[in-house]
Amino acid sequence: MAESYRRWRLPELWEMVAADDAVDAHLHLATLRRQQIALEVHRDRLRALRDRLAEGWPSDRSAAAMAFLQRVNDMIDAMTQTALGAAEVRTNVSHIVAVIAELRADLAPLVAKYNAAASYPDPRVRRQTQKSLDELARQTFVRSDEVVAEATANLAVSLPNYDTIRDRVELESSGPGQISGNKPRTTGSGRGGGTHLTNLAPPTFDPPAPVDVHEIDDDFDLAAGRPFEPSSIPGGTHSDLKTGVPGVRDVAAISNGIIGGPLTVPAQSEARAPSARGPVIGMPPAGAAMPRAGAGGSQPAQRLSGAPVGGPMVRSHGAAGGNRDRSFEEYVARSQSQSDDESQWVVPRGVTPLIEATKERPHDVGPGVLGIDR
Amino acid sequence: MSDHQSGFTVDLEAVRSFGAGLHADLTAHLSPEHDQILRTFVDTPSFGTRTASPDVQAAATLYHRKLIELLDLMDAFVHNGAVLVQAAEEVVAAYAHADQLSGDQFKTSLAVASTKVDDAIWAAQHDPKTGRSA
Repeated sequence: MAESYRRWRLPELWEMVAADDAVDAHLHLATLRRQQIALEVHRDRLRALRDRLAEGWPSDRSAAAMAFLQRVNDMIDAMTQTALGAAEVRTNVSHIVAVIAELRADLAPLVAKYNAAASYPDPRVRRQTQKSLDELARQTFVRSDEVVAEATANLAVSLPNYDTIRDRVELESSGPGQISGNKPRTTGSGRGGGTHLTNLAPPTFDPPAPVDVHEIDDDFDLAAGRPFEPSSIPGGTHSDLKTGVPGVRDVAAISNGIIGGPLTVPAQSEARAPSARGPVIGMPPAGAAMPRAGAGGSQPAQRLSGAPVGGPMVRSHGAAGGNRDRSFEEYVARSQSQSDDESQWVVPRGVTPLIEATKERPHDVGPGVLGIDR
Repeated sequence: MSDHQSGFTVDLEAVRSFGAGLHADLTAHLSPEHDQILRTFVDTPSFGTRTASPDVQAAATLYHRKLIELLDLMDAFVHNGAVLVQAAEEVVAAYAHADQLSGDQFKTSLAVASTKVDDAIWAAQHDPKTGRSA
């Protein structure tokens, strides 16, 4: 039955594959190859010995010689089949090992993004991003399982039914080299005579504990299989009236408790966002040319206060037309572009402002002013 | 009866050489290789130890079973090779013993025949009732 991996998130899924050591896997493959070579070399030597023996002890002259050479031939045939079987097992195990290695390689960048998302200031953005990555990891696991299942079917290699010789006779106290004429009896059950093979314990599996279901099925809908888009958050980019949590765009429009008030970026040390990588709203990394993805539709002259693009900026305040500050979206885009330059997040643009600036009214000095009506 | 030609032809040195050569290959090559291979598989964990995937778990379990089969076969080759070495020694000893037995049997037959002849001569020279000489 196929596993959907709904019970695990990316960190636990990563644990599943990170525990597999590629060096160990290749050591297994190399040892299977070593076994194949050892069998082939020994078989070839045994063939040469057999040919010389057949010349000195022809089987057409002796029933004992025929029986003896038949045993030798059986061993040569079994060695050939076992060497082929070892090669076949090795081939199919190498496929499985490659699939696991590929799965690990696919998950590694997702884990990096997952860790980067942990520094997002908005918990909803963080959680939604991580849930999207969880789902991507699950889909990767399911695809990987399909390939493993195919390789496993081919792993059922047929090996020769070659038994350990267990014939025994009751030896009497006769002269040297004399075997008593008692009828041979067979003891044991053939294959599996190696008592030390019990050291090769059967595999045991210790997967990470599943995550609490309530943690996975929280109140956010998952944008399954698609990159995260802020507009996919319930409530859009505006405040969620039910929860009272401000929307993504609202966060940028509120500063120091003053809606639409002047936003002046504090000193650089204070402006550092919680991100471990250091990108801050309006503060590009030192010496870096900050991409402006998603910043279209704005008027640079209005956004910037004499600072060049990429430098410290003072945000425009509530001019006519509303606050068009998209610094948060830019921050999200920058954070994403730093972790993965190939995938830019789509950021909505040109949204209707939430707060209209009040129109200027004619100045009215009020009543009771001397001489005003003259 | 055997369909083989009467009499046996055996070069005991060829049989002895087979046993010695096989013994040398086993002790210097196959047996230590088998030990090393077994030790590596025992000491090296396989894949999927922490996986929750039923497919990977099935693959790891089947792989373990195939490893056991392969190692059992290697063990059987080493064991049966040793049996063939011992059998070659027994064959050499048996042929040598058979040749020795032929000489002994001839002596026995000669002794039996001599005894019978002596008995017949004695009977002809003596009265069967009284045992006195005729």
